[in-house]
Amino acid sequence: MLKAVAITWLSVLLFFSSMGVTFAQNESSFVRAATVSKREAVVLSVLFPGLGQMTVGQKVKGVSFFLAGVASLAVFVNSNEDYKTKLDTYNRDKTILSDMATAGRKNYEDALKSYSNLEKQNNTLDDLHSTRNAALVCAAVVYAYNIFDVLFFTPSSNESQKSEIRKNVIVESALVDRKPGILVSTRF
Amino acid sequence: MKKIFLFLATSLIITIAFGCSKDNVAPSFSKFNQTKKPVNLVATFFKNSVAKTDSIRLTWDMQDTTSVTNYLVSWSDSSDFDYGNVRQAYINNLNTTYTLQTTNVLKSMGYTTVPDTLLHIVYFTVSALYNNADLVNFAGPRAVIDTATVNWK
Repeated sequence: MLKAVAITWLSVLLFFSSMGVTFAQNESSFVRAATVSKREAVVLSVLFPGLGQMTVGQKVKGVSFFLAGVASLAVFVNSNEDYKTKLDTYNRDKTILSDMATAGRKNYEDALKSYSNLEKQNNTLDDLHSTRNAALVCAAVVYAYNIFDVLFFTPSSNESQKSEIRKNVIVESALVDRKPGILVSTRF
Repeated sequence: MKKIFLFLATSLIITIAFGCSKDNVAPSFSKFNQTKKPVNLVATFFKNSVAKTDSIRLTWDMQDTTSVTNYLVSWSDSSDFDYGNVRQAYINNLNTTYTLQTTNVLKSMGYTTVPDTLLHIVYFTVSALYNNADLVNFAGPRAVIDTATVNWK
């Protein structure tokens, strides 16, 4: 379930990124895309933290949100996968301990060793569960604050900003026989 | 915009509800805690030079014999019991006395000839075997280990 959501999210992100490259290949389209409205910035921030801020020129803030979002999601996905893997091992060992009672010719000392090992595994799983939840809360906080920021603290694009961006883009595009990647970096 | 918010909020709630639930439950040892260990284990070596049938006699006490069907006697040549040559014998009754032939004990641990040392220490322990709804032929905790010093000559 989690993987499906993550993959869907990344697919949407890639789709919009590719759209940005397509816009950039046509100069007039690119200028139009660069002067994003507040509504578009909000939509981008909803897709992933920091994208909206970056598109309206708040690069440091945007990159900070983006990195915080990526880092917390990376920790979350990693600890989640670790938790699931260790949980499988834990459940298997737990079944072995339970079976020792009725398998016949087993002894208390082996059961005690198995139990001690299970307790350690359970503590590890508790730690991983805490890490996973903390990372998820971080990701949620970053995401929520990113939306809050883009709604209330991000200025809407006015005409002067538009002209400034337009001028920058025109100068840049005149200098080089550009490739899509260069134009995307100019945009942010 | 509203649809996007609804989609993301739903995704987040589903993720938290199903993806982050705590699925590990602490292990339980209660099944095994009902077992008791025999007490007052004494191993005594009896020399019989005439008949050449040296023996080792084990005695112990078991106060609570609920679900106990028989006993398991174990011996080893190491004070660190499990790291030695460990051998076992099941006793098919509830008697708290058991006699082993010394030759058989030593042979079972691989001693077929007279060793350099004439005196040989063998470590003994005994466990109760439990049979009930929860436990099947399960050997309970070991009694405190006792030693018998075997005199070869």
